[in-house]
Amino acid sequence: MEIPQGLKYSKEHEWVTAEDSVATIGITDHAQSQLGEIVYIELPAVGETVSKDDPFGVIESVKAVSDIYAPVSGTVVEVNEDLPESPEVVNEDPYGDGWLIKVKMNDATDLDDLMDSDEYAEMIAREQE
Amino acid sequence: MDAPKRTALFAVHQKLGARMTVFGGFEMPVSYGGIIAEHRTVRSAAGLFDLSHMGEFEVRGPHALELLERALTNSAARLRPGQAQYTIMCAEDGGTIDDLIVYHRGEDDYLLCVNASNIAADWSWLNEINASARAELRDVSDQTALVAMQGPRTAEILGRIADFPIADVPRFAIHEGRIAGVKCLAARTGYTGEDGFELFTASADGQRLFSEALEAGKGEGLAPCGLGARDTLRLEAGLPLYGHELDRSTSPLEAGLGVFVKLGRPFIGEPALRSQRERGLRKRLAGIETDDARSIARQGYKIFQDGREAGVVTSGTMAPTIGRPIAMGYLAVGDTSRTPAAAGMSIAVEIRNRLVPATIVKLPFYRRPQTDLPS
Repeated sequence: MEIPQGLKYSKEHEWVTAEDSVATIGITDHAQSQLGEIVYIELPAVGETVSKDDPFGVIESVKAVSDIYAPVSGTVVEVNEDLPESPEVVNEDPYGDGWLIKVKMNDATDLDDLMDSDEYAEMIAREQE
Repeated sequence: MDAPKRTALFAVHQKLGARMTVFGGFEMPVSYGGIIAEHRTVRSAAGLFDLSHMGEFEVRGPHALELLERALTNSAARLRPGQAQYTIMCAEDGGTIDDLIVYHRGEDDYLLCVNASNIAADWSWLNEINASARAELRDVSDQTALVAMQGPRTAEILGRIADFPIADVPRFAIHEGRIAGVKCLAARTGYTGEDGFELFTASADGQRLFSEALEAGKGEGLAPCGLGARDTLRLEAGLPLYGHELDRSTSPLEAGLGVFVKLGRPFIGEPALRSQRERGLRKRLAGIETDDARSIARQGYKIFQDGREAGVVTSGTMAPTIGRPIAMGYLAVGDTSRTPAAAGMSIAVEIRNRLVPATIVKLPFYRRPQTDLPS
């Protein structure tokens, strides 16, 4: 299971990387592997706002529907336009081409509540016990 | 809640790296590689399934047929030895207790294959009816492994390891012989919309049968398949699944299974079903496709027609062969009209608080290409 260093992680299995005040958000390798083959993704439009710990989108695999939760609050400035046509990219490259949205953060200290890669790895290990 | 049971093939699934889930009280493989790939393998080559969670009852003796004729909507009396039949077990009110297959093995000798989740309910129901019928009933579910090979190359693969000409066995017929040296009851039945066989054997021989069959089909692209693909395959084929399209509050006529209900015989539920047929049905099962070819209507989602709630989705998924989402669901039959949900009719499905336009389509969604099967 790939958990890159340098990213921030949420309890709901999203990852975040921030440049200035813009956060790029995706789901982790663990999350995509648990979901199985992703066949549908619903994301907010540019200009919509997302709130920390609230669902901002939906991912469906063949078997199930799952909410995606915002790890930070802010305004959506970019959406991965390739995903509606090719949702499987999230399975294939969750930390790269499979990113979901970019958000201009209201408050960059939201990031401080997230886990680093070691803490996230520990959380997954505990969940699997 | 009891811990889930394991089939005789559990160790094989672990070795193959299956992702497991609990289904019908059993820990079963969802998929080994991926649901979509397994689905496509069954359509194009062949897939191998462990179905040992399913229940098997032996019904024997001079009163065996009497019990089946009383308990089941299809007429087991029409079966000759060596034949199989899809049938339904109904309550007095016509609600469905289970759907199952009856295998006629020989004189006064039948095998029933029932859904895992219904084993206990079926067993007690049958025994209750049997108080007057006095057939010899035996639940052999725990001693029986069931391995299914489904897909166009099945007969070719099994032909190499069967000690009888398995390709000559007609559809819905059975033959008892050895496969990979293992004593089996081979039935040309299935739940995928493809040609295929279901192989009943002793639990102790299940692993050997599964492993040797897998090995024998390597060259043809045979792959192990889980319950995930089994579900998408049966949905494309428009086949009902108990707990989704069938339950105690749904009759086989409402589920579109009228061809398996032979009225005019004294089976339990016959008067209720006859009355439904004469007076009209309250609801009808329909095939559904969302118009955007993207939104998936799933079990429990509400169906709307002309702005009014008109029914509920019972199963839905992204269909790998068809390449778009498909669903099945029940639509209320209006008071003013007895016409069933007609293909082409516009409806809407409520998906996450949004009404998504959809269309009623004819079932099944998928029909396999015609082949020259013996019949």
